[in-house]
Order: sequence, then C-alpha cells, then structure tokens
Amino acid sequence: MNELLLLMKSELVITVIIFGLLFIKVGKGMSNDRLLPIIQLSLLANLIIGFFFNTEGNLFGDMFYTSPLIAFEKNILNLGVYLIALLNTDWLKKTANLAEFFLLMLSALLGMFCLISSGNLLIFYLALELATIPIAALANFDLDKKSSSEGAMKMILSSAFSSGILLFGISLIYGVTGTISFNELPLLADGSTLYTLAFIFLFSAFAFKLSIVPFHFWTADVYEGSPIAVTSFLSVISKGAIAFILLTVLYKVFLPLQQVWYLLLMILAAATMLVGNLFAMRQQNMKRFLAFSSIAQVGFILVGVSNGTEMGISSVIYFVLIYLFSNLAAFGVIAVISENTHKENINDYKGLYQTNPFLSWILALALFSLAGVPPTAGFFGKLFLLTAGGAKANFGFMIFATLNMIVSLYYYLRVTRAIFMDKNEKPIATIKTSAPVKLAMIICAAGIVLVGLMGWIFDYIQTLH
Amino acid sequence: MNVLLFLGLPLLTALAVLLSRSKQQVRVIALIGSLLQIVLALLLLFAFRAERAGNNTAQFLFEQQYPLIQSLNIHFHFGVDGISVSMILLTALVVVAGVLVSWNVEKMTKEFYFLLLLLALGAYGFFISLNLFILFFFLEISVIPKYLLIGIWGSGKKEYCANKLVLMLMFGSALILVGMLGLYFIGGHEFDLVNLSQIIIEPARQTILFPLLFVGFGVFTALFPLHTWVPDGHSSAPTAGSMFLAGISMKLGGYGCLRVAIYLLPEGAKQYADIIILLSSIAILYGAFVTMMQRDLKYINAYSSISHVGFSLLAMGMLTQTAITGALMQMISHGLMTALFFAVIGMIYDRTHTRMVDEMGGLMKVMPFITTVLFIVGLCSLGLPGLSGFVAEMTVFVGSWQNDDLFHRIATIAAAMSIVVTAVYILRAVTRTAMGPITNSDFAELKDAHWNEKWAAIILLAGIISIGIAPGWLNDLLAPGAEIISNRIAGK
Amino acid sequence: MMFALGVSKYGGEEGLGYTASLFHLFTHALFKALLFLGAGAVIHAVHSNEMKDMGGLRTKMPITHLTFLIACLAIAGVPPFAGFFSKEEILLAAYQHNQPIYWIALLTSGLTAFYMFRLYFNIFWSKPFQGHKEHHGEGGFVMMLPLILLAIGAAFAGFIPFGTLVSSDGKELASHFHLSFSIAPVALGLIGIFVAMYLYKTENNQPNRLATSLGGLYKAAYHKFYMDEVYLFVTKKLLFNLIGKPAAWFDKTIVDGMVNLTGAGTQVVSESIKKWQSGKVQAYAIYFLTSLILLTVLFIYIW
Repeated sequence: MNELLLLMKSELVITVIIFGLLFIKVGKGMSNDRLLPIIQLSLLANLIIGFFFNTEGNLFGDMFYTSPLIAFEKNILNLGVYLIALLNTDWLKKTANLAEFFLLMLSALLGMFCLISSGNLLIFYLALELATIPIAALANFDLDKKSSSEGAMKMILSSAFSSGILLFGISLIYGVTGTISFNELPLLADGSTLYTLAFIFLFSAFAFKLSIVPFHFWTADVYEGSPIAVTSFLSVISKGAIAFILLTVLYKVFLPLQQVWYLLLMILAAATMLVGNLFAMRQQNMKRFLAFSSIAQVGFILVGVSNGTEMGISSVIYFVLIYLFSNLAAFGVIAVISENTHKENINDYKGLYQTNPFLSWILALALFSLAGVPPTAGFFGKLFLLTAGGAKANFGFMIFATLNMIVSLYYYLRVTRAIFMDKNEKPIATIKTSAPVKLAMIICAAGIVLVGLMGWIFDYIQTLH
Repeated sequence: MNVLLFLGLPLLTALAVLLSRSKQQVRVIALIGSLLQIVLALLLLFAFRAERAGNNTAQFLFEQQYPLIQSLNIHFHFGVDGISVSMILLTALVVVAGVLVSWNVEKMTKEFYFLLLLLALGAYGFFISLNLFILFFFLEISVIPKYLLIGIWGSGKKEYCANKLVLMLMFGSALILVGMLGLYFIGGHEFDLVNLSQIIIEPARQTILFPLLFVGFGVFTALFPLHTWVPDGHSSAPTAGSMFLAGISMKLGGYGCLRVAIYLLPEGAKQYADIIILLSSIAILYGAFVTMMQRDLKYINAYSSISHVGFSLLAMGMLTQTAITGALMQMISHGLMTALFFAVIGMIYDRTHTRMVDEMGGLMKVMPFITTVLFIVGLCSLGLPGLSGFVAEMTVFVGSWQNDDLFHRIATIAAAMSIVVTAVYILRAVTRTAMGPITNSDFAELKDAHWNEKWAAIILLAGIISIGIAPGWLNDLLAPGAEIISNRIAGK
Repeated sequence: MMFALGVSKYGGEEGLGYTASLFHLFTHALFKALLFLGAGAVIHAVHSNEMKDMGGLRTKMPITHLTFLIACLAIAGVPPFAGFFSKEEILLAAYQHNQPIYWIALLTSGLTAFYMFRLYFNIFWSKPFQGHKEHHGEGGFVMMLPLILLAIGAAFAGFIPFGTLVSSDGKELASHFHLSFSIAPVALGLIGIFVAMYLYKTENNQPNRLATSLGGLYKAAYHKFYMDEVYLFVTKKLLFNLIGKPAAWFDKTIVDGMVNLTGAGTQVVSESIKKWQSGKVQAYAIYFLTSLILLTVLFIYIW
C-alpha cells in the first residue's frame, strides 16, 4: 500500500486535484477570481511534491513502471502545466467554465503520466487515449469560434484514425509474440517481416501524436482554432510526453529493431524539419506559425532520439525542458496580446517594441531560443540533440539538420524584425500584464537564459539513468 | 592574471548600462567600462610578457578550468597565448573607439550600448576559450547583437542586410558545428583544444573535417565566394557596428581558421592548402577590382576588406611560420585599420549625409582632422611603410615567398599586384573626398571632429602607428604561436 | 642609379657599379631635392606651375637663383659639383661593362644637361619678369635655409670618398679618377648647357623653329611619349572597364545572386507546397494512409 502511494504519487496528486475540482464544481461553485489562484497554488504544490520521494519500482505486475528519470519527466510536464496556468491568467479568468477546463487538462495530464509510466501495450493504449480525448474537448473550448470546433472535430477524427492503426499494430505484435509486456517484448521479437510491419503501424501513432511529417496535417488547423492555452498545452506538454514514451518504446521495447527505426527516424526527421520549416516560413498567423515551427522542432527531437543510448534520452529530456520554457514564453506573449487586442498576425506585431518592450524582449528571447541562438538555452538544447544524433558520424545528415536551423532562424527573425525594426503607424497599444503572467514570463526567461549555462542540469539528467 | 576578468568586465558594464537612468549615464558607464577593458588588456600584455620573460614556456598561460557538463566532457577552459593576447588588445581598442564614435546615438541608446558590450563579451570570450564548445558558444553569442544592431540602427536596406548577414554567418556556424561534433567523436569525446591537439586524427577523417571547419570559419572572415554578407552587412550597419564587424568579427573567423581548422587538422590543411591559396588569391584581386568600381565609401571599405582579409587567408594557405605570423599581423592591422576607416566614414557621413565619393570634395578645408585621419588610413590600407599595413603585408609576402614552387610564387605575385589596384582605389577615393574645391556649398559650414571622435581616431591610430613603427613587440607575441602551428603542420 | 646597379657585378673592382649607384643616389638626393625646393620657391612666388608664367626671376629671387644654378650644374655633371663625381663613376662602371650602353648613357647625360638648363633659363632669364606688382619676392628664412644647406651639399658632396664607405662586398673600394675619361661627359654636358643657353636665354622663336623641324619627335616628347595616356588607357579602359566592371557585376549578380537565389528558392518551394495543407480532414487521412503504406513498402520490400 505504501509502495502504491509512493510510486503512483504524481498520478494520485493529480487525481486528488481533479476530484477537488469536481467537488467544487458540483458543490456551490466558486467565482473564477477565487478559483484560479487555488488551482494555480495546487498545481504549484503538485510541482513541488513531484521533486520528493522518487524511487524506482513496478506496480500491477509490470503494468506500471516508474523511476527517478520518469519522475523527472513528469516534473517537467508539471512545470509546464503550472506555467500554462499562470501565463493564461487573463483568458482563464474570463472563461465561463474554468473548472471544466482544468478538469479536462489535468485528465489529459494524468493520461500522459500513465503513458510515460506504462509497462505494457494495453496501458500504453489506454493512457494514450486518455491523453488525447480530453484535449480534443479542450480544443473546442472557444465555443463562439467556428474554427475551434472545426479543429476539435479534425483532431478527434484524425486521432481515431490513428488509434485504429495503432490498435492494428498492437494486435499484430501480440499475434507475433504472444505478449504485450514491455519487458518481454524485446526478448520475444523474432525479427520477422510481420513484426517490422507491426512496429511501423505502431510508430505511425507516435508520428501522428508528435506531428511528424507526413502525419502532421491536423496540427496547424487544431493549433490555430484552439484557445492559446490549449495550443501551448498541445505543442509543449503533449509533445513532450509522447517524446518521452517514444524514447522508452524505441530504446527498450524495440531495441532489436534499432536498425529499422534508426533509418526511419532519419528519414522522418529530415522530412519533418524540412517541411515544418518550409510551411512555417510563410505563415502570417502567429499560432499557425508556432505550430509549424514546433513541427520542425519535433524533427530536431527525432535527431536526438536516433542516438539510441542514454545520451539520446538525456538530450531529448533536456531539450524538452528548454523547449518548454521557450515555447511557453512565446505562447504566453501571444496569449496576452491576443487576449487584449485580438490580434494574432505577425504584421500586427510591427513596432511592438515601441509600446511593449517587456513583452518584446520575452518574445524575442523565446524565439531566439527556439532558433537555437546562444546565449539562450535553445542553443545548448539543439547542440546536445545534434551531439546525440551525430554519434554515428553521419556528416551529411548533420549538415542537413544544421542547414534547417538556418531556415528556421530565417523565419524566427521575421518576427523579431517585425517587433524591433518595422515601422508601424498604429502599433499595439501598451498592455498591462498582470502579476502572475509576469511571474511566469520571468520564470520562462530565466529558464531560457540559465538552463543552458547551468550545465549541471544536464549532468543531473545523466545521473538519473 | 585572471583572464575571466575579460568576461566579467563587459558583462558588468552591460548590466550597469541596463540599469542606468539617463542616456548620459549610459554613455559614461560604457566609456568607463571600455576604458577599463583597455587597461585590462594592457595589463594582460605586460603580465604575459613578464611570464614569458620569466621563461614560462607553457603554450597557454593563465589557464583556468571549470566543469560545465561533465558527462559530455565539456569544460570551461580559458587561457591565452601571444596570439590571443594581441587579439584581445585589438578588441579592446576597437571597443573603446566604437563606444566613443557612438556618443551621439540618440535612438534607444541604452539598448545600443548593451548590444555593443555584448558583442565585445563574445569576442573576448572567443579569444580566451580553449574549449571548442565554449569557443563556438562565444562565436555565436554575437549573432543576436549583430542582427539587432544592423536592423534597428542601420541605414539603407538594413533589414535585408541584417537578415543576409545573420543567415550567412549561421551557415558558417552550421558547418563549424558539424565539424566540431566530428572532432568530438573522433577525438574520443573531447572538445578541449589542448587535448585535441595531442590526438592524431587519421588523414582520411581530416579530409572530411577540415573543409567543414575552415569554410565555416571562413564565412566569418569573408572567404571567397561566401563573402557577400560583407559589403551589404558592413554598409548598412551603424558606424560602431561596422567597426565591430570588420574590426573584430571577421577576425574571429580568421582566428578560428588558424586555431581550430589548421592547428587541429594539419593534414587536412596540407591537402587543401592549394585551394585556400587559389580562393584567397582570387579574393584579393577580385576584391580589389570590385572595390575600384564602388562609389560608396562604406562599400569601398567593405570590398577592400575582402581583399585585405584575403591576404591573411592566403598566408594561412602558405603554411610557413613567417606566413602565419603575417596572417595574424594582417588580421590585427586590418582590424585596426578598417575600424578606423569605418569610424572616419561615419564621421563624414554624420556631417555631409552622404557616403558617395562623387558628391564630396574639398572636405580637407572644412574638416582637416577627419580628412587627415582618412588619408593615414588610406595610406595604411595601401601598405605605406611606417603604418601597420606595410608590416603585415610584407610579412605575408616574405612568408609566402618561402614556398619556392611556381604555384605559390604566382599566387604571391598576383597578391602583391593587387597593391597597385589598392593604390588606385584608395587614392582616388581619398583625394576626391578630401581635395579639390568644396563642391557642395552646404559643406562649407561643417565642423571638424568632436572630442569623442578625435579620441576614437587617436586610439586606433596609436595602434596602427605603433605596429607600423615598432613591429617587434607584435612579432614577439605572434611568432611563437605561429611557430607551434607551423611545427605541427611540418609534423615536428 | 638603376642603370648603374644593372651594370654592376658583385664584389671587388667589378662592384664599382654598386658603389656608383649608391653614390649617385646620395648626391642625386641632394641636388634633386634642391631643384624641387627651388621650383617650389618659384611656384610660391609666381603662383603658377607653368613655365610660361615665369621668366626673369633672377633679380627677384637671387638666392633661389643661385642655388638652383648650383643644382643644375650638379645634375649636368659639371665639375667640381657633386653630380660630376657620381656620374663619372657610373659611366666608368658602364664603360667597363658594356660599350654601347656607355654611349647611350653618355648621350642621356648630355640631354639631361640640356633640359635642366632649358628649365633654368626659362625660369630665371628669358623674358623680363611680368608678374604681379606686389610681388613678395623670395620666401623668408625658413624657405631659404634648406635651399642653402642643400646647395652646399650639391656643391661639395662629390668630394666624399664614397667608395671607402659603401661597396658591394663590404671591402673598401678606391675611387678612380681618370681625367681623360671625364672629358667626354663634361664636354657633352657643356654642349647641352650652351645649346640651352642659345635657345632659351632670351625669348626668341628659335625653339619653335627647332620644334617644327623635329616634328613628330618633339610632339611625342611634348606629350611625354604618350606615357600618361598609356597609363590612363591601362587603368581607365582596361582595368576599370575590362576587369573592374565585370568583377563588380559578377559580384552583384552571380555571387550575391546565388545567395539570394537560395533564399528565393526556399520561398518558392514553400509557396508551392502550400496546397498540401488543404484543411480537409479526409485528405489528411489519405495522406496518413499513403505515407504509412510507403513506409511499409520501403522497410519491408526495399530495405
């Protein structure tokens, strides 16, 4: 019993919060102004608790597995959710169904926790669905916007399609090996064609969730339609969680197929970086822009994943942490501006620096970090991914990846150019940012500046293996 | 002496600038900070000479090491040899001159100086780093400041030029990055310059890695044909920005070519030396001829930079000790000279509001100080003895001539011929600007240099002349470093 | 000088040319500098570079006149002025080395005497002075002192035993002085001087008649044998138009164009794949399935 409490600590805390929210909702309710701080505090508590009592262990006969490394991954996600809750304070206060919003978001988070900790394909599938369906509901949260519902519909349909193929893959795997346990699968893999086929089917589900080209088409529409809080959740938390479990699945479960997935990752990483960048280049809407740029970032994550050793795991986790700070900061600024002015186009950002220097610097810092320009942490993140990916000394691929960094820099510069250089008769008026938003932005900025320079963070991740 | 001061001082100054209240405060703090940098650089010079005089023969002095990421074997590793000391001196001089000439920047003064100091920080960090990762980090740190400096405070097609400059430099960085990671894996998970220099890398690997690193750093130093960011970037940057770009940034590339590409991959250097010589000879002549056709003073200086930097690349390709010393001298001389040239062009532009040679004339009569400096710089550029340009180019030619086969001889002669073309364009530009009657009646009322401009010019001139008259001290600094590199090439 | 160096050989007696050239370099520095300073003083006085604006200045500027004369005598190789000794050694070196060259040199030295004295007579004699009324005469002490110092040098430097100081191999080289050898150059120099005197001492039309009779040669010489035009042609026409312009064009269009093309090309590709993102969810499903099949084919059948 004690072990159950300890090992499932993160999941249980989330569950407690979910139930708390349910009680409040079912009870006499509470005004947003009172409820939001409570939620934010409980998320903070959740984050803090996540750092203690982390041990390694199995539950339910290998169905659930956790370790300090996995706990760290969950902490990253916790941090992200906490920051999202802070950054979108303005929007959340106005939303009609605050409790439901967090109910859904935390349910998805719970799903992701189970996903990361899953020890067999069944739990994996269930958790994946739990992590997806609430998000589809969340995507529909802008009730008065048609594009919001459209995005949600596209998401749920595509994801059902992807789930179907995933299940097909799982059943094939079970058919070949007679097991669904992560621990047994690598031992029973027979290297047959059918097994490879099953793996590719299974992988397509990851590709779909991670928006890997050519399985990415839903991304832009959903990102654009959803409220920014949801978009940032999708592009950071959801991507991070899937990337984490992808590491486990590839490195542990499908280790015998390493040659297959190495090549697969190379092809898809190249395609993802290239197509993501090319699409991002000509986006006008900031959300769509970040959606495509996050596709390109996923391509980079795949470069790190292709490593196949602990270095790969560490570099991906480290990158997700940095990506979380950077992307959330960018989305935070967009959220503030969109909430106050309803402007989301890059052209609207012209001359922003004149009126909103603080927001401009945060956004610029975030974008430079996403582009991987030092001294921001994004530089270190990208560099370690490349270091991981370059372990096989495939120079051609490395050059391709770095050239993509240049293309991405080009479009990130487009935004900074609008902010700092372009002239505008009517720039966005000065916006007063509320304290929680400011706090979250400063946390993100600090993360962007410091995580890279504090090398011990990477070392710490390395020690968690 | 603690070389970390070179990181701490600019950083502190930059932070102080951020916290200051008025524009005047910003300027004064930046000036004090940059003057302290000169003092520090001179102290370093003396400390270094004292150590060497005391027979401390270690390759790098004042070494310090701190772990950054132990699991990847990445350390902060700092230290200096004669080459870095002289580069640091160059940086300090250009920084203070840049701060001085920007005294009248009114638009976002605080941000301007902050970015300027960030650039300086990057340059210092680059020159004292002995770890490839850290070196690369500092190389890249200047990307954002460069972009914003050109894009916000620049002139002309500034956005386009800023974009082009940053993207092309990033292209160079991308190649460096790949080459660097290649070294890391081949050298057994090692980024440390000193440790890597102990490792013998098989020639086949060097064949792949050398072009990546050399071309990568080469982009920074305007290696033909990847030089097109130079004219556009320099001409649209604000004065101090151009000074930094030409005076310091391009030197980062040259230093990298030498310290990283050639030093760590001597076999690769030998394999590609002829191509380097070919490209740089082309750059020298081609740059000179293209300069001849320019009408805009900034373009003249920018294109002539391509030609001048070509000398140092040419000398690197020659691989002899004298040539490498010459390459380094040329880098320093060119750094001082172009920085001053851009400063003077900025001063003229501030007054006449044109940079077109044809629209000027007779400026000597209204601004004797500025035009005199322009003359001196021009003469330095065309290699007049007594100024640094002559010393550097002479060393390059002597070093190049030491290779006695036909190919090297032809390349050397071709490069030497460019001096004639240089004389044509420099003299034409300078005389048209300064001499003759005052063509535009608006110019008659113009004022000569202000105190800040005078000091900026004097500080850089001091460098140019002290190298020109007494090159011995510089040679003492550079030659031992060059010897280590050339010995490694020769396999000693 | 260069000439002397050319006829020299290294070491001993053969190294005469080396010593001679340096000796001449030394004396030449003195009287040439003197000539330039003198000319400067004259220009300063009459505010013109043109010889036709000058004339009859000998009374107005006596010191300049005297020093200029010394310089001219020195350069013409009239004994005992400095130029005589050094030129003598050069000619001797040439004589020992190569006879025809010696003759050319000799002739040239005669010509030198002629043109220097043409200058001298034109400036200081010729027509009477016709400058500004308020002519300020010679410059002050500051201008005259260097003239005088250099004149002393030009007059007496020839007596320095130069061979003992400088030689090609560091050994002393005794000066040779053959009276008989000097006759020819001195005579030629004097002839040059007298011809110049005859033609230019007073204003007359002799020179013009001579000019017409010499025809093309005079014209070519007047235009400095078109050397300037050749230089101008080479720099302006050849360097600028044939190399500079194409190079600048190449840089702007081809090299820079390549860079811009990379950017533009990326943009075009980006534009052309826009239609993939159609917004139709059924299309997305088809893409999904097609990609899946392609990957399967790749990994199962091809790889």
